[in-house]
Amino acid sequence: MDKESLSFQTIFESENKSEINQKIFYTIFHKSPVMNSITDAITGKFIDVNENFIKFCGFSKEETIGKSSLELNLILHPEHRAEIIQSIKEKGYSNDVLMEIRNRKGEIKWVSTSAHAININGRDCFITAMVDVSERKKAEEQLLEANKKLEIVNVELEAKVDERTKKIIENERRFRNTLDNMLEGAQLIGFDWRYIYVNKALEKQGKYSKEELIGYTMMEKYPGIEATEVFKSIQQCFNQRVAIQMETEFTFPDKTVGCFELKIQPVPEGVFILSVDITERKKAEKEIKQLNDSLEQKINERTNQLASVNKELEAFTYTVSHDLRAPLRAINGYAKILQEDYISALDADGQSSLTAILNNSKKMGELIDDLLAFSRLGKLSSTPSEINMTGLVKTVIEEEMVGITNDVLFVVQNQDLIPAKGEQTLIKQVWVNLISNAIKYSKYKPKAIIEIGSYYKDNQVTYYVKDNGSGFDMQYYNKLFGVFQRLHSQDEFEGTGIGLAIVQKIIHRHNGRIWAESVLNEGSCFYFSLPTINS
Amino acid sequence: MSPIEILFVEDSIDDATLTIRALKKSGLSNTLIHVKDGVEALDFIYRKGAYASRNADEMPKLILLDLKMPKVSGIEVLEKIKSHPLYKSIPVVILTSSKQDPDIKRCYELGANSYIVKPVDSDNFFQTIKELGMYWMILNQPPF
Repeated sequence: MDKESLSFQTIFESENKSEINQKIFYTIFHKSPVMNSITDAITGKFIDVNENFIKFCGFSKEETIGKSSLELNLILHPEHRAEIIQSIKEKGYSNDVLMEIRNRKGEIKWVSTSAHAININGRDCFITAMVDVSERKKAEEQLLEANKKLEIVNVELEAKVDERTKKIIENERRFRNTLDNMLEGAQLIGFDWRYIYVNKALEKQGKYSKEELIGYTMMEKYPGIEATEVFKSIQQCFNQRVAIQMETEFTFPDKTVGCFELKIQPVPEGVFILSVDITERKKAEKEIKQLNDSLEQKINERTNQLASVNKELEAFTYTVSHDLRAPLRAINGYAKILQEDYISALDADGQSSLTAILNNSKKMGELIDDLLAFSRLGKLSSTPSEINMTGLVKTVIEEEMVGITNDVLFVVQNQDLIPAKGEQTLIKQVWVNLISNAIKYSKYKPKAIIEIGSYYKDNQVTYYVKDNGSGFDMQYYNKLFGVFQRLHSQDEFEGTGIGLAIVQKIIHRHNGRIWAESVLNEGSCFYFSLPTINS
Repeated sequence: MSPIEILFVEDSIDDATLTIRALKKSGLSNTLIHVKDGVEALDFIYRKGAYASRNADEMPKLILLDLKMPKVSGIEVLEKIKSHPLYKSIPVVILTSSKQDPDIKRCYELGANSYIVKPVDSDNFFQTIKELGMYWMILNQPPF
């Protein structure tokens, strides 16, 4: 025994035992932090209660003594009380029964109750001890609540996880479905060259069903594939783990050939290959190329044909120039002999007939010469160069005015003309024809004025020759530039009708434009455009 | 017989008639000999066939040569003339129907001295022939 126990022992032994017991009991009962009470076992009425009990229940000691717990309405659930009584009856005590107590203020608290049967001075009593466990209970409830919440969260979480899983499965299913059904062929090849996955398009492209491919190696399915470009690329992708894009021609075991566009990508399992069948496209491209080739060949043939036709035409014009001119020369020559040596033998009628023969043969000669000159335009070609228009036009005016007796005034706008790019000899011919026309068609005017000028328009130089001569009727404009088309009679103005056709041909050869304006009896203005010297 | 001054090679009777007339009017036809094609021209030059007995010293001062002739063309005759040791120095004037004749260029390359386009208008033709004949006959002294 320890020292303190010993000291109690001493106290017990030294004093009157019963007195001591009473003191201890009193102290324990009244001063204990536990709520203690003594009740009559039969009536249930309180015989004594301690300070804590009073404090706890809110009733004074006087109000409590002599009343039962039921009378004070302390017990929330009487069945708990009955349970305690039953236990005491059976065992003589009841331990740690949890029950709810309502105090005077109506506050409800949880208590743990233990009770013992006790006989005090021949009277059966219960001595009851209650401990306030509200805080504990509250903590428990909070825990329970927290647990419940946790449970709910758990359930929700589980539901969410389920949902996610479903979605993932759905996504995978969808992805799988997309992969299965997309137009590009898709295949997954393991590092051992075995097919792990193929989609429907690949079954079609590869000419094997899924069942025939999965689990087999490429070499088993396509003997000889080791020698192909595709094989080397897959191998490269296996080793270097780089994506490869390629176009390839592949010969199948049945000897058919297909063209494919391949994207080989490294994946953890091996390689994933996307393939597009471009056989038809290639075929179409080939056909287009062949078509183009044959077209080119046809164009060449046509060009050659055209060249030979041109040659024939040249030969023809040459023949015309020789063979038509020879008899004409004879007609003219003999008529001339008649005129010179035998004119006196003819009467007036005969003489005028002879003159007509001479004039007509001469005219026909001119027509042939003009026709030849016109056909020759297509052959001439020298490189275009800068032309000093002012100088050229001055020369042409001087040449064309030789033998002209009427009064003609030339006005060159701004003294100078804008230079242009062209073939000098041809452009000179244009000026010759236009200026001689202007002179010719002004011959009946007492004072002819011919204005020549130039201006820039639409990245070209436009020139014009304007006269105050006889002009022409604009309703015949469409015939103006035609070969051998004339808008005036031979009696009025001589000419073969080839001049403007030649002018138009020359201007068109320079990618220029030619047009005219006129008012009958007031004059005409002819315009033509040429490339600038910078073009 | 006076010495031959002009050798005139022309197959067309009409052209020949008109040309000879023009020359006659200029007083140049007396010493002219007209041959009717390239073969005859070569016979004359090389003293063969009908001209085998021709006097070798008789050298024309001018040759008027038509280009378009059957059998042997004017070009071939020109070639022969210009490769002949004596004849090559005689001036040759080409007669052609068109100035667009592609053979003209070739003629100059071969050594032709001039050319005349036979115009339809006989006035012009006569004038040209006259001037040309005079020029070569009178102003242009042959080298021998």
